[in-house]
Amino acid sequence: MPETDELLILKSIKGDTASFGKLVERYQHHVFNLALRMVNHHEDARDITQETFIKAFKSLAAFKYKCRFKTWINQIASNTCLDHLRRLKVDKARRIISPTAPYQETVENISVGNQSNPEEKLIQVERATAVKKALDSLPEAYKLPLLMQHYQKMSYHEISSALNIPKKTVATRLYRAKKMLKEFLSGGEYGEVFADQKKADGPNIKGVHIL
Amino acid sequence: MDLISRECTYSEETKIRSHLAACPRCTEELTELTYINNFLDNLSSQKAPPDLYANIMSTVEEMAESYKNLSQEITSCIRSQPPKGIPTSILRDLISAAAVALIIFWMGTGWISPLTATTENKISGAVLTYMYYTEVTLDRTKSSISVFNHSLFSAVDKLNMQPKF
Repeated sequence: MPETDELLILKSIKGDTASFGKLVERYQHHVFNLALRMVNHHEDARDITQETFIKAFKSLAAFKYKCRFKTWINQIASNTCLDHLRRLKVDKARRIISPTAPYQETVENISVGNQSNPEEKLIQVERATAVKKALDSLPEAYKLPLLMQHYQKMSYHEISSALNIPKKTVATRLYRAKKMLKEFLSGGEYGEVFADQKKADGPNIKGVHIL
Repeated sequence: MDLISRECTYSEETKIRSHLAACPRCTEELTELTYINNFLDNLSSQKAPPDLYANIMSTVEEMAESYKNLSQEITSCIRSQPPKGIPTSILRDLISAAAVALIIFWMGTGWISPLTATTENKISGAVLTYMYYTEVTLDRTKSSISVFNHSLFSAVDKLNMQPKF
């Protein structure tokens, strides 16, 4: 039976780095995905993930078990992402750095699921690109809870703890984020992509049983 | 939103569904939000780069090693420079001082001034001598603690100068 996060934390605090390594193994993909969706740059996401785990290791003794480790690591990751984005804005304003190419969804890196033929793969790439563009159009305050809820599968309570905002605010931001996405996807160059999927989904869309 | 996010209780869900059955506008809104949810699923998860774990753990192990070394350094610093006169030496010195003072003044006072050598005088003299010798002992102890603290703080300074991430 795998050891619980709490036990691994306890062992790590006592100096067992192998136990901390198990925590890294468990959550590295999770943190990396959050960072990648937030900053939209592969190398930066990698640096943010590394920084997140180093910060977690340094402050393990202060963890205090008030929430799940997953919530805590998401909190550190989201703060690190926001710090990074703020630094980028400042550096761009000072023209210290030039804009770097954002992470592109390609046929190679997309997870195709059950799409085996090239045409299906290309459609998938198109849709994934549309989603990325739509997410990038969101303000950070709306994007973060949406990424946490939809991709990290966190509950309102966990998002509320990680972002230090009330649960009602989480619900409001999620609602507004999805309305903004809908507006973005209904017009412009991605309108057709979205409309095609709606047609393909039809009236029996998964997740909600419509009366 | 709560319905789509599965954040509502069974009774709340029942109420929402009853409302949806009678409200086409809300049903349409729910459908649109669900389409958005499905569309978001087009964005796949990525695996972290394969060497990321090794990079993280190499830094973590370096940090753990440096904390361990520093902790050993502090421990050995404490052990190698025990402050003189703490605690058994102090006790020994104090007891010696008290005993000597008492003997001298008890015996000496009686010999020097037999007529005025009352018990009170003897005790008073003994106490004064005791106080003098204890003050000297405390000064010596304070100086030893000062030397010890200096060594301890030097070691702590080294800890503060560890690289921060």
